[in-house]
This record gives sequence, C-alpha cells and structure tokens, in this order.
Amino acid sequence: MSKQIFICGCEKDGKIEKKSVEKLMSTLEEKNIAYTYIEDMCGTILKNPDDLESLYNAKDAIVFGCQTRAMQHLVANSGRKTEGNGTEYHHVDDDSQEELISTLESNTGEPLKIKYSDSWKPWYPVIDYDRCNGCRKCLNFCLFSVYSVEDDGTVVVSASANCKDMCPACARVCPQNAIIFPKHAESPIDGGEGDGTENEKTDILEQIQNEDVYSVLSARRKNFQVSLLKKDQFKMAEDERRACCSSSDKKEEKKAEKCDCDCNCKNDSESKCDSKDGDSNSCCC
Amino acid sequence: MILKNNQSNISFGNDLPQHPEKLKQIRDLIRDYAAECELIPPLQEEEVIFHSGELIRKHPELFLYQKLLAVMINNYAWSQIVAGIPFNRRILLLPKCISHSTLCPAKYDELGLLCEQCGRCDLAEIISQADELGYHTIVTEGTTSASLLLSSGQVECVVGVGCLHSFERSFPLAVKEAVPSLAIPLYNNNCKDSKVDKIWLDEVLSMRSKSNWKGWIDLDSIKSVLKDWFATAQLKTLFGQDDDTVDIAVRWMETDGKRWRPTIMLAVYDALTGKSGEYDDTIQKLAVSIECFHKASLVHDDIVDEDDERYGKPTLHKEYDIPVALNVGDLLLGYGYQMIAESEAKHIRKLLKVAACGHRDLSLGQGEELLWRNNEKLLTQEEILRIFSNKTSPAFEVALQFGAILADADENILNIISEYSNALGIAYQVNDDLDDFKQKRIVSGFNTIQPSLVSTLLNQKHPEKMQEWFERTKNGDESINTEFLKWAETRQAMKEAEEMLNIYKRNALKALKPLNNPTLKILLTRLLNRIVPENS
Repeated sequence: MSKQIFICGCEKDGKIEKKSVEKLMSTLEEKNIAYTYIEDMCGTILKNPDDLESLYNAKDAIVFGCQTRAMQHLVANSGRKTEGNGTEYHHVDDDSQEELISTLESNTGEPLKIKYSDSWKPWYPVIDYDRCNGCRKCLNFCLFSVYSVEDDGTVVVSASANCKDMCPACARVCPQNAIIFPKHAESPIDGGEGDGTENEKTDILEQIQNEDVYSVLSARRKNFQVSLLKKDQFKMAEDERRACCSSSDKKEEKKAEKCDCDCNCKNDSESKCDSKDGDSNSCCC
Repeated sequence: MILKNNQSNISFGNDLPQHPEKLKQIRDLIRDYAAECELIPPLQEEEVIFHSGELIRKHPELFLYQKLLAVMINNYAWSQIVAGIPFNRRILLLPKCISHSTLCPAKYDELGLLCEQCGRCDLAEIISQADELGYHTIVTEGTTSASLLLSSGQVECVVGVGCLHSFERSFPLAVKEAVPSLAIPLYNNNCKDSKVDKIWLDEVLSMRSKSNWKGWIDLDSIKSVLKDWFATAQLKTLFGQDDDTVDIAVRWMETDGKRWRPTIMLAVYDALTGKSGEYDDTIQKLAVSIECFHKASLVHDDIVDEDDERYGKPTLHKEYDIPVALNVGDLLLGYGYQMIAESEAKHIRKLLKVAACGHRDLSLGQGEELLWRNNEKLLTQEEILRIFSNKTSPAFEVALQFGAILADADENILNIISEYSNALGIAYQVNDDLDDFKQKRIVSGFNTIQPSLVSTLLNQKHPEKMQEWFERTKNGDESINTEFLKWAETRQAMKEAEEMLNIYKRNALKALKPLNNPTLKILLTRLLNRIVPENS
C-alpha cells in the first residue's frame, strides 16, 4: 500500500515558507501523488481533532511541515494516534525531499484539504516526553495554569487556550529543553535541534546565590556591553572587509582597462608615454 | 488536551485603569488614606488586603482595582525607606514582555534578556534612564530571577515592573525577606508588547531623599566580626586563665556552630541604635556570655540525649567523659555570668535577670521532658508545646533582649520581643524535629524522635500502634527505624506538624505588628525566615 502524504501549511501566523509549501504541492500534483493539505495542524489538532482521523490511523504516512520534532510530539500529545503506525515527519525545506518524493508511487487521488477557520492563533506548548523528566518547573513557572499534573505524576498541557500568544517563557526555564512551541521563531524552542549554545549554561545563577549580588550584576552588565562592542567591532570589520573586497574589485576592473594611447602607464607609473604632458603627469588615461 | 474557551480569566479586582491620570489620582487617594493610619513596613499580606478593603469601603467605585490598591498601599509603606536607599543598591526588574514580540534582536542569559537597546520597544529608554541613575537592571522572563534575587537575602531594594499576576507570585517572597520594594503594574496582562505607565515609573525610579536609610542590617558582616571575637586567642584573653579545663572550654566555644545568638543580639542592637559596626568591649563581653550559655547547654544536652557527634565531631563527653563534660558546661555557665558582671553595661541588673530567667525556663522545659521520659506516659499537644516554649524560646529571647536592653529599648519593645521569641522558639523546634522525620531512617533510634510534635500527634490518634512501635524498639527491632518513617500516618502527622509550624511562624510575625520601628520590624521578619527556613 502506498504512503499517505500530509502537508501542514502552518497558515495561522505561520513560520514556514509559503513558497516551499506551494512548490511541494505542485511537485506532488505533477507526479499525480495524492496528498492531504492541513491548513494548520496546531489549530486543527486542538479545535477539531476528529478532522485528523486519517492521520492518526494512517498505516504508513509522511507529514511535511515545520520542525520534525515539533510535529511528531504535537501528534503524540494528542493521544489519539494509533500505536505502531509508521509516520515519518519532514521539514518542507528538507534537502532530501526530492529523493523522497521520487520513491513515492503515483496514484490518482484528489488532494484533500483540512480547514482551520478559527480566529484564535493556536499558540501553546507541546511536550517532548522523550526529554521531559517531570521536574514540574514549567508547572510552577507558568502564571496561567497551562500545565497540570496527572495522578501518575506526568506533567500535561491541560489548558492550552490559557497560554499567552508569543510567550515561550516556560520553554526557556525547562532544564531538558523538552517544551516546544511549534510557531516560535527560534530553535530549539520551535522543536529544532538548536545550535548547542542553549545548553551552555553560565554559572550566573549560582554566583548570585553565593557571591555579592551587586558585583555579579555589575560584572554581567559590563561583560554584555563588551560583547556588544565586540559585535559592533566585528560588524565594522566585516563592513571594512567587504569595502576592501569591492575596492580591489574596482582596481582589477581598472587594470583590465586599456589605455587609449597604448602606453603602459596604468601599471607602471615610471613608464614614459608620449601623450603625457610634462606638468600633470597624466596622459589620455 | 482540554481547551478552555473562556479566553478572559480576568476576575474582579484584577483590573487596571488605562490612563496615567487615573492611576495618579488613585495614588494620591492612597497617600491621603495612609496619612491617617501608620503603615510600618513590611506589611503582611493580610494587612495589605485589609487596607485595600478599607479603601474600597470608602471609595466603592474602586472595587475593580482591588489588587492594584494592594500594590499601591504596599508601595506607599515602603516609599520612604526606598527613597533613602542609594540608586546603586537598587535592582530594577523589568518584564521581558515589554520587548517587541517579533523584532527584538536580543539574546538571553539565565537571568533574562540582554537588551541591545535597539529602540524597537520602550525598554531602551527605561534602561538608559535607570543606567544613568545607577540602577542594576534585569529584564526577566517570568518570576524565576525575581524569586532568586529576593531569596538570596542580599538584595537591599527592588523596583519591579510586571503584571498583577506576577506580583502575586513574588509578593510573598518580598514580604518574607522584608526587602524594601516598589511594584509598578503593567497596563496589560497578556505577556505581549506590554506597556507601563512611564510617568509613574519615572516618579518611582527617580525617588531619592537627601539622607540615606541606614536600616539594612548586613548579617554577613556581623558574622565576620564575630569570627574574630570567637578566635582562640580572644577567648583566652577574655577568660584570663591558663588551665587545662579552660582550654577544653575555649576549644568547645571556638568550634563552629552558626553563632545565631550573638548574631541576632548584635543585629537587634544595630537596628535600634542605627550605629552598625561600632562595637565596644561591653557588647563583645555580652555576646560571648550568650554563646557561653548556649554552648554550656549543648554540652549538657548531648549528655542527656546520649548524642555521640556534634558538628561532625565527637561530643565533649565522648572525647573525654561525662564528668569532665558536665564540669566544662558548668565552667561555661560561670564564665557567662562573669562576662555580664564585668561588661560595665548600663543595665546589668536587667541583663542578669533576663539571663537567669532564661536559664530557669530552659531547665523547667528540659525537666518536664526528662520526667516524661521516666514515667513513659503520653504527652498531650499542650504539654509538648509548653516544653518547646520553655526549652527553646529562651535561647533566642535572651539574645534578642540583650541587644534591645543594650540599645535602651523601652518596655513595649521588650514585650514584643518576648512574644516573638516564644513563637520563634516553638517554630524552630517543630522544624528541627521535622528534619529528623524527613530522613530515610531514624538515625539514632525510635526513642530519639520522642518527644516531638509529630510523635505526640501520633500518640493522640494511634496510642496502641505507638505502644507497639515502642515495644518493638525495646526488643531491639531495628527495622522500625525505616518502617516507621514510611507509615502513612507518620506522613500525615508530619503534614499537620508543618501546618502548625506555619501557624507559629505567622504568630511570630503577628507579634511584630505593633512595632513602629521599621528597621527592627524588617530585621525580625528576615531573621524568622533565616532561623526557620521555608521547607523546600
């Protein structure tokens, strides 16, 4: 049996490139591969979960959308997915996309569409249970009771609608980086793997508890200003380098120019040129 | 996932007028109200609620703004003190949500957002104003940084901007640590592109009186003074005798310990006189006398409780023997009274009486406990609390009273201290007992956790079962040392004991209500939380 294809368009204040989604859809259509377009999976899974029945029950599926970890846990968090089904998740901008599509069998189904027509922007946390260790920091941290604890101690997102649009604060306090906001702009909060720096913890929290608070804060401010300065300097250096490059480009252009009078004065200032007038040391060029 | 469709979780009282003029109008109203009643900080939560209720009674139209009123009343109570704190000792906490929700270029460290002052939001302007004045500014996300700073015990002043929700979180902590603090609520509660009344903020940020407030008692610097006083050479000079027994006593005195009693004596003295760090021989001798009494009681206690170790080292009667230890304890008592007599303090008779009464009560409390052990009857809750109050409260009371008497405090203050110490002592003992129960096993046997509040509560509910545990201990059954702590009823009794602990802590704070000296009120509030830390 062929794989079922799903594409999430992240339409509600989304973060993925519309062009990428459109490109993917036209490629599939060209190849006569049927797919289901989900306008906004975050929204539908919360507001109209029944609409995604085909995704939960698909024996073998591929989902294109935002970060794979975000989609995988978003679907897992719904608790409706049939266990044991093979579902692959891919970013719409995934490099291996073409290769992947080439392996798909064409079929003649019509594209389906799952609409999300609510005005509410589905901004809420998704928990990556592979990472969550149940420390409850998020639970105590959130001012709006988005989280709660089940009888068995599992932390769950129980009041998604209480979550404040664009506030990813709980994800930042999570020591496991286990909280995902799929619509967030940065990795790893958006479910990406991050660049590794997010785990580089300074010991500033410890310093505050054990050293003089005021000197720690002064030092922090100073360090930051220095780093800003460095950033400025770096930017300046980059600008200068760019300026350098472009001016040497010009030089080369000039070099390429030929002197009208066939002399060699462009390259050799000492060369004699008949066209030179004695005072200004300049010739035709 | 459950979706709650009711988007607005705004309850009554959570509202905020959206105009600076209206906010100013309410601030003026509060100023007029406060002129009629004395607001001495730190105000406890129930006091703040009481006053906001009073205001609403007078101005019913303000009922929507109950929480705002509470914030403003608390601000008013602290305002004079904050004005006396130099800008460079103040910390400004700004919420991250003021930043531009999509275009903010800033990075974060663990304390918060590192603002690049790009000018896309109001933060740049606020921060540069605060920088110019000398504030330490932190842009925080949520209340984690605020909690950390407040509970560090080192922060002398906080100016916080945040939503009313976040204040509800951090207010209890600010009260507990008695940190002079002012709060300015955001216009909005939705954590995004937030705005603050800049006129109000400006008013608060630039608040500064001509003279400095000198009421911040630095407990760490007191402790470092004490370190010198309790060095071997100093003690030897004070005791003035070269003798083997004196050497043991000096060593026992010098061995670590928290030196809480001398610390609180000096702190109270500093708070009442406003002359921190200026100590003469009189104070030094009295501080040593207090520690003498305390260390003497520990020697004797260790013998009575048959404890083998203290501070991770052998107890005195283990290192030598019981007669030697008893005698060293007695020697320390002698030195303690000698130090008072030679202190040349103004109120020596008062001091002697306080010390002697402390001793008497301690022995009575201890006596009741010892006699109980002999006749094996079950203690009631009243009896155990009386034992605690006698046994533990005097040690704190003597230290606090010494500091107050030295500073010429009036009867009124001495009485308040008395009431405070009583509650503090009980809370301390209940907490100390609870620590024994929070282990995986009872370290030194079933009998050492008696009498305690937890075991008394259990005795009342399950006398037969407790008798059974007792019998099993007698027969040398050691498995109960872990089994007993796992018993559901023990856990339940611990919970009840913890509730009572909180009641006594609250009673200690209630005792401070009539104090009209804010410096002392702030100090004693902080001390309570230090001596009986919050359970984590």
